[in-house]
Amino acid sequence: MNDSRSYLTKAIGWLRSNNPHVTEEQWAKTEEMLAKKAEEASPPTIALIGLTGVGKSSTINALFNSGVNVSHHRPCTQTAQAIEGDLYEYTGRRGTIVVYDMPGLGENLAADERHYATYCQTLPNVDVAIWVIEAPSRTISPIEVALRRLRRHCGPEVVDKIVFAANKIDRIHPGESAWIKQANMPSLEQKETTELYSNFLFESLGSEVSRPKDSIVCYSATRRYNLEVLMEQVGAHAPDDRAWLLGKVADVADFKELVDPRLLAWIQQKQHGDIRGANRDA
Amino acid sequence: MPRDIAPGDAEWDEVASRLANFMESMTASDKRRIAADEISFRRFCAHAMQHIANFLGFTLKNIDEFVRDMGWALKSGWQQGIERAQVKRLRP
Ligand SMILES: Nc1nc2c(ncn2[C@@H]2O[C@H](COP(=O)(O)OP(=O)(O)O)[C@@H](O)[C@H]2O)c(=O)[nH]1
Ligand SMILES: [Mg+2]
Repeated sequence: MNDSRSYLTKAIGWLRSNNPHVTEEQWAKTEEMLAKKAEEASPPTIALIGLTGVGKSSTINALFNSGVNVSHHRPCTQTAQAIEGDLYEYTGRRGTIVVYDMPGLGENLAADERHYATYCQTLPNVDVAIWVIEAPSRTISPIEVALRRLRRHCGPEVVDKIVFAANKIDRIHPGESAWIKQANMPSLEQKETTELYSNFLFESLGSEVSRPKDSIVCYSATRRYNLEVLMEQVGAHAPDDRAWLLGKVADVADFKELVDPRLLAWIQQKQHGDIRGANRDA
Repeated sequence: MPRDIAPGDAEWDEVASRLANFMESMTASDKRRIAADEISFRRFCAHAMQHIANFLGFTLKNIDEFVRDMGWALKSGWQQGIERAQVKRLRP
């Protein structure tokens, strides 16, 4: 959400017209207190899970700092029980989020066990979690096992706040050189491989989560591809009354900046005309 | 080898129309998110308002509706949500 003030005015307007018994003075006080509560709401908190190099930092920059590497990155004092990974305050162009950056699974069993303990401790306290996977990784079974255990130990609501984010789809088969740079789009073959991979994730993780279709997003952080959908799902997996806080600080990197301007101009020209009609008939 | 395509190339039309569709779906996603954020904000307000009303000593009517109608509005648009809420309010 870009303008919480205008939402606040709308909300108060609705309540006011439905509650004529409340006095003007009470409304004034109410609006003031509500604005204060909205301002004082604790910053949105995100858990990031994933092996080193899968693109966790790139993803946060893509979603909350229009793709630019952030300079303001303040480590938080860790809580009494040490957690593995990093806990930091991330300040993008629109505001601050708290990030728990945690290691991914699949390196070795002993490490996985420690990481699992970290997830158990952390996930109940975050608004949403982004589990970053590097497409087309097939090392999904440790994740499946962890989800099953998490569901049992921490409750299904903890598992249902996870978005599975398959990054780097620009590199998916037949490889990075197939990516259509001019349009910043996957080639048809890459698109097909991405669909296959998405189905594979769906089959592997689908039984562990409540809304598998929504919980799996294939994207590219550095190509800024499909980030809007990732951001939409991040909001959708956050608590009902806190998603707006994520929206407030969202600053999604602009995909169009990486598209050949001639293509954009051509599309704009055609937009009034027949491009989609022709495509549908084809 | 990556090479540039240009208007007139066989590939150009296919790529451009795929790109147009993709951009449209991104815009739609963005809109859905913004609408969902607005509802989320209403939920937040509803919770906060219960406390505020208690504190200031009045009761709020229709606070559940306040959120519910907006949930419906996500599917049908903001304006229609307001209208529906108003129609319901006028019902005896
Ligand atoms: N090709 C490609 N590379 C990416 C993408 N996202 C991140 N990377 C690269 O992957 C490397 C690791 O990224 P980083 O965000 O530091 O990963 P982290 O260790 O998980 O935080 C960097 O060189 C990034 O530029 C992507 O979508 N496509
Ligand atoms: Mg990192």
